[in-house]
Amino acid sequence: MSDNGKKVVDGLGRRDFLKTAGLAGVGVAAAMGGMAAGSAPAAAVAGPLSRAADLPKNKGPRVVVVGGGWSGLTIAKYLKKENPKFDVVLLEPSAMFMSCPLSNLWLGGVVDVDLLLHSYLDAARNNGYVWLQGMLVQFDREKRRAWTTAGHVDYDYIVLAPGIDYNYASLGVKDPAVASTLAHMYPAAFKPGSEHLSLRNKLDDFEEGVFVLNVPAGNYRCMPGPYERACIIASYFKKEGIKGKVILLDPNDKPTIKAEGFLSAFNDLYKDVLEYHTSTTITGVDPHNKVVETEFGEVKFADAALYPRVRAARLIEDVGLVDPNSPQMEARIDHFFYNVPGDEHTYVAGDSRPMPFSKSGNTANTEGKVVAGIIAARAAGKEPKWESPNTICYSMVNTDPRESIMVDAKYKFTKGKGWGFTDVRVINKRSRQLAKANIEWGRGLYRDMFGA
Amino acid sequence: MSNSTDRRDFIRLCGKTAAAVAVARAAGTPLMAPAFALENAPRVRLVTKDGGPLKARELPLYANWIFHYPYHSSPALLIKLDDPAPPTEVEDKDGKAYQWPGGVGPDKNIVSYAAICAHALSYDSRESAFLNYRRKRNQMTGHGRVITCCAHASVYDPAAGARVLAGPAKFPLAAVLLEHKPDTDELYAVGLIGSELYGEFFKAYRKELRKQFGRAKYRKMVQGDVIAMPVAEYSEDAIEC
Repeated sequence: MSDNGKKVVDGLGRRDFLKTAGLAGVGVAAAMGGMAAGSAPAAAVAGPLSRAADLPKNKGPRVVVVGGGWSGLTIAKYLKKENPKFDVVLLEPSAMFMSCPLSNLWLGGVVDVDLLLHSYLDAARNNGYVWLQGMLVQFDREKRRAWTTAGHVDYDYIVLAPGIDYNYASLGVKDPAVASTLAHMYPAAFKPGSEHLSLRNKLDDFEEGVFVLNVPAGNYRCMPGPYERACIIASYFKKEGIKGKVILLDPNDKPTIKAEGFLSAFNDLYKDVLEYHTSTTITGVDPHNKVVETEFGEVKFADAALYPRVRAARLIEDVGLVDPNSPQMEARIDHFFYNVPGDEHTYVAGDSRPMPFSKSGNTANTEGKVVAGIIAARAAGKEPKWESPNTICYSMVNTDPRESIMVDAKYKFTKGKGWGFTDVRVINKRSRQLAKANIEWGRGLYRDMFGA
Repeated sequence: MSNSTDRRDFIRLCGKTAAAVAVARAAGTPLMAPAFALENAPRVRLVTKDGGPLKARELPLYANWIFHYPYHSSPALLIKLDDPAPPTEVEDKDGKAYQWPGGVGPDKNIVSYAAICAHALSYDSRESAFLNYRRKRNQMTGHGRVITCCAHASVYDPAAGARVLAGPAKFPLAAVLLEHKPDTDELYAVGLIGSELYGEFFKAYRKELRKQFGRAKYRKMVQGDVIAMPVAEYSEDAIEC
């Protein structure tokens, strides 16, 4: 939160604070009952922002974890494991969890959707924390109070793990109205929920023609995701006898990960149904005429799932934690201990982190355990320990028979060079057995996050 | 081998939870109470598919076998290593040290561990066996002569109490205590020490375990004779990675 915001909170009433900090905005006003945008409504003060959240009385240091994705779920669970006295509150607005990892397998009809769906109640009950169904609006780092749509919560530590948002300007779409249209018509389907259901329905409805997918520039969520999805959809077209073609547009000169494994799948399995265009950047989209523009010309499509460049969730910017030098609007935090510089009570983890780690489920899960350890150590007055997150990532490149490839990597920091991969092991030879391990990978981590 | 006789007698005299202590004593190592030892651990004889006793000498070198212990539904790996495996001190999930008693058999190279991963409970089922012992180096981690769980690449050293060599697991696989009868060359499973995960295991897999092993039986302890066989025969896929 900005210094400005802090002073205001300290000195003035909450309503003024809302106005001055500009956080009320359209969203909050609307949520409070259709007040005029821009003015902080008096009614808002009487609403959730002005009352305490319904929570059991805390018996130990309270940690609020904002965001119930792979990062937040893991952090919440392992905080309790590290120190059962912690009073952990997981703040997440969704009614249930849907997994982005393994969702391509569901899109291709390999697994049922119930593999991806999980209960926040189970996660919280099995692991001794509380799920508060709401969103963070703002928080005061000095007073350690978080205002949420489910009431305010006083805390000792707060961890923000809000994930990603999309930057539609990266697709050459500057007009927010067109961006909104694009997001409705051709959702990227890398933020789970309606986007994925919508893509699945598109595939069910697909009759013939070109289906466009793309790889965004920069560090995006799920590096192999677009390539795996291209394989899955091509596999589906083949299996269903659909007269369709997948066109995958990639600004890179080869797949960003497991290149050999993907390229041999493209070649061996999908020659007639998949076109892979390298070094090709999308420069514009005409949603109504169904045209994607690139430097090399236009691609006309029947349907598409367009993946804009990823940025840290907008919340990071809204609460004033964005690093002004970050091209992807990621948070400014200590790269080893995840806290906001000079503030050992505020942390950012998961896909909003600025470190160039893979924005993936396994990374968030292994990192979450490290972050929980850091907070527990500091709460106990001990020195925290850094450990590299681990990126284990399977990709199913064939659905009939099921065959997968995989990569396993860690990270290290070198002075002068920054972050890089280490201990990288890749299995590019697709196999049926790795496809089984692929599904078990997900099952195991769902057990980890939702089970005891 | 007088050690095994001592052990057996000790168990009879002192009751069930003392098995591991007895093993540690019999192995000539300083007495160290195990962090955990299964209570009322059954004592079962390992047999082959045809019902005859599994002789230690007939268990092939580098064997990656499976049997069920201590429950009808809980798998354990039975492994014959290159070299004798001496007793080793390892730590359980709470960081408490315990003594793994080492290999048994004429060459002290037969060992056994629960085939339930200490990381996220992946296990060896009829459909897929995610944990396997292999002598050759695996692609996923570069380790050889190890037990690898192919779901998340946890690697355990079977010659050292299944201590973790790599991957996300934080503590060793639970160890099944074996006993070798030198006169008949038979093998017995007599106890379990280390980090026990059966509560979580049953909770996570209740549905499928009931289906495969029967509602009444799946969480009952084994007794009498228990069949051991190669994982590759038991499971549709002994997963390699």
